[in-house]
Amino acid sequence: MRNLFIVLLLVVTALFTSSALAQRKAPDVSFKTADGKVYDLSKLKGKVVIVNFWATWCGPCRKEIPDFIEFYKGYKEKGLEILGVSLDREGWEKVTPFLKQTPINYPIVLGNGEIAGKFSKFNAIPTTFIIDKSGNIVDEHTGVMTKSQLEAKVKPLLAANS
Amino acid sequence: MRRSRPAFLIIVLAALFALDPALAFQAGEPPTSAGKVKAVGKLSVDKVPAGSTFKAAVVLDIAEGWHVNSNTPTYDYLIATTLEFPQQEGVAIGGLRYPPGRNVKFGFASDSLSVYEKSTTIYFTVKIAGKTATGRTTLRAKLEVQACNNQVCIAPATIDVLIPMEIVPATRKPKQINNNVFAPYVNE
Repeated sequence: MRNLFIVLLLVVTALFTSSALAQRKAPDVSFKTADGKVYDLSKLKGKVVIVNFWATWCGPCRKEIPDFIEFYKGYKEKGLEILGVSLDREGWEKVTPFLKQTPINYPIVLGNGEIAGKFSKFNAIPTTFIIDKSGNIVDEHTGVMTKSQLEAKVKPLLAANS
Repeated sequence: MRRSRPAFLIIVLAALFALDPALAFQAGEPPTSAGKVKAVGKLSVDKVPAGSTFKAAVVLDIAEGWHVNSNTPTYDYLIATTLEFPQQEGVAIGGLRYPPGRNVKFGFASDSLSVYEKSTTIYFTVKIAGKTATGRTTLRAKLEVQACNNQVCIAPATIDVLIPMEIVPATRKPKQINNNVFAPYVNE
């Protein structure tokens, strides 16, 4: 009976922790573009930030990039920032030629498994995190995202006060 | 029945890890394509006479719903499946033959992609030097794979394939084994 009570207590605690994590603070990480510009997530508060993990070898990631480009065009001036975090092991050696072929209008930075792990447990790409103006991760999506999906999730956040 | 205290704690911790993904992730490395591909080495003989040449293979078992790129992927940016062999004294690898990919259409690409799905086999031959010492040894290979399904991709992985073999005196005649695996290699 006592053991059963402890199990129930721990399960309730775990559930509470999980729900707290569903709206957790974005990790305090900083990224650098190929030309040295630094993006510090903690300094982007007040903006809605999309962090999109991708790689040049990932077909689904390539598929969604045009939608991200279009979405950024329409919402950059309205308080949106997008960071495309490449998980290519070879880093800029692979990413730079890709960017020459496929110009992207939002900042592209490098990441790795350690940085990805600070966001959440995700095991596949593309994975996209949406961070509200207060710096909370409010959405996580693994798989291709379309412009209309991005709009549905991000527009209310842009309209909200921080 | 009364469970011991350590067993009880393990069950509770396992339940916690299952419920909390962040905790589970911190406990281990991010998953790679190795989680979607099993690779098993096969030999065409039960024992290997020193100085002999025999057939060998690596059989890939790819998880249902997933694929890896073939050795000749459709696009340059895709990571090809490759099998490499670290230098091993007295071992010479030849006749490496990858299976042809199957052209499959996925929602994320405009063209069909050349991929391996389900089960597929990479063949090669192994020549063992005449002066090789008899006894048990291991043939080593490294398989590079990168898995995707119709929606997502997983980080590439290099899988170590260890194939145990027993070297016997050159005079000993080996028995042919794994005939079902090597039949296609024989016929071509």
